[in-house]
Amino acid sequence: MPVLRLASAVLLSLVLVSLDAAAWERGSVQSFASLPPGAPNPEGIAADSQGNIYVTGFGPTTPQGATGPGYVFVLGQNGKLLRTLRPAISSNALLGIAVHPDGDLLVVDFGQSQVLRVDPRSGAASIFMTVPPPVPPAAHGLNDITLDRAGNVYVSDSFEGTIWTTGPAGGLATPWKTDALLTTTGFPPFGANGLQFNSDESALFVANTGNDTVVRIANDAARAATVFTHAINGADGLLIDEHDNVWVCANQADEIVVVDPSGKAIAKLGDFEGACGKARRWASCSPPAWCEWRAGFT
Amino acid sequence: MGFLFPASLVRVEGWIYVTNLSLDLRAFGGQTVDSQWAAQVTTHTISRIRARIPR
Repeated sequence: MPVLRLASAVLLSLVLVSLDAAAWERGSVQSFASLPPGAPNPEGIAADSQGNIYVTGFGPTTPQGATGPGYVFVLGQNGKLLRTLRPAISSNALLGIAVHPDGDLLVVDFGQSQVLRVDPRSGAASIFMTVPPPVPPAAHGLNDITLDRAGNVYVSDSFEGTIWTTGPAGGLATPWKTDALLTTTGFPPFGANGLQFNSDESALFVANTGNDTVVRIANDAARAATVFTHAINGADGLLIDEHDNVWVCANQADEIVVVDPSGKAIAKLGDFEGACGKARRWASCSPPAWCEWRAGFT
Repeated sequence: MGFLFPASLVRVEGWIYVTNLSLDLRAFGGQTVDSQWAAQVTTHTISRIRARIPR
């Protein structure tokens, strides 16, 4: 019996150690900025060399954003709203955004299946990239955007399962890669989404929202696509750091999942803290924190 | 205040900035665990978190 007890204790301690090793330190999520009342839902985000933050609005579900033109909000490093751009030729459904090497903004106009070049100060816009008409019953779903070091532009198409590309000057895009791994029958009903090259540009990594995957596409002549990792709940925007870790917005899990170059999760950051925020868990939470969070709700 | 339907992220120096899309996907044909929370949002927000991987 003592031997059995000892074995049980050892086993239990191993389980506890294992559980402890698997716990995530989720970090502290801060509120950076609030958009003006009635603003459309914030979707794309980019930063310029001065640290200004640009945020696109996805408006179809909001009264103020029900019709075009769309919104691009410009925020300073302190979170203050510097100005609101209204690109005149845009629809109300703007998604991915990137900064062109010449300083202009490149904005994916989901509603009009094109990419706009937008002056970051005036909001003056022109068409930067178009795509060929879809073959019915297919439809375009242009979503996110990235650039390589040469300034070539790549845009994900969530519905056609395609990565479109064009040169630094824009124009009619050509398909860089079309693959079933970039489509989805899942929910949310968006396939290819956030995308970025790794540090040596040997591969393009693409989130597939409806499939909960990240797809790796080799940047060589064959451009073979493989699933890099599974089970990121609503894989949306992504970025790749200098160590080739992939940071992915899990839009249905309210967290950021960081995976290492092998595809293993090494961090899960943030969470939804509820309508009452941490005040629900911490009775000593100060009233301002409570009020700040509550201000975002009815 | 946390994340609600985090959609896109960008790194600026030591921070990751994240859009809270807060989209009620019932408008697109599906109930999700966050739908009713998203429907309550009246002011949309951008969050940020340290660009640090806990060790």
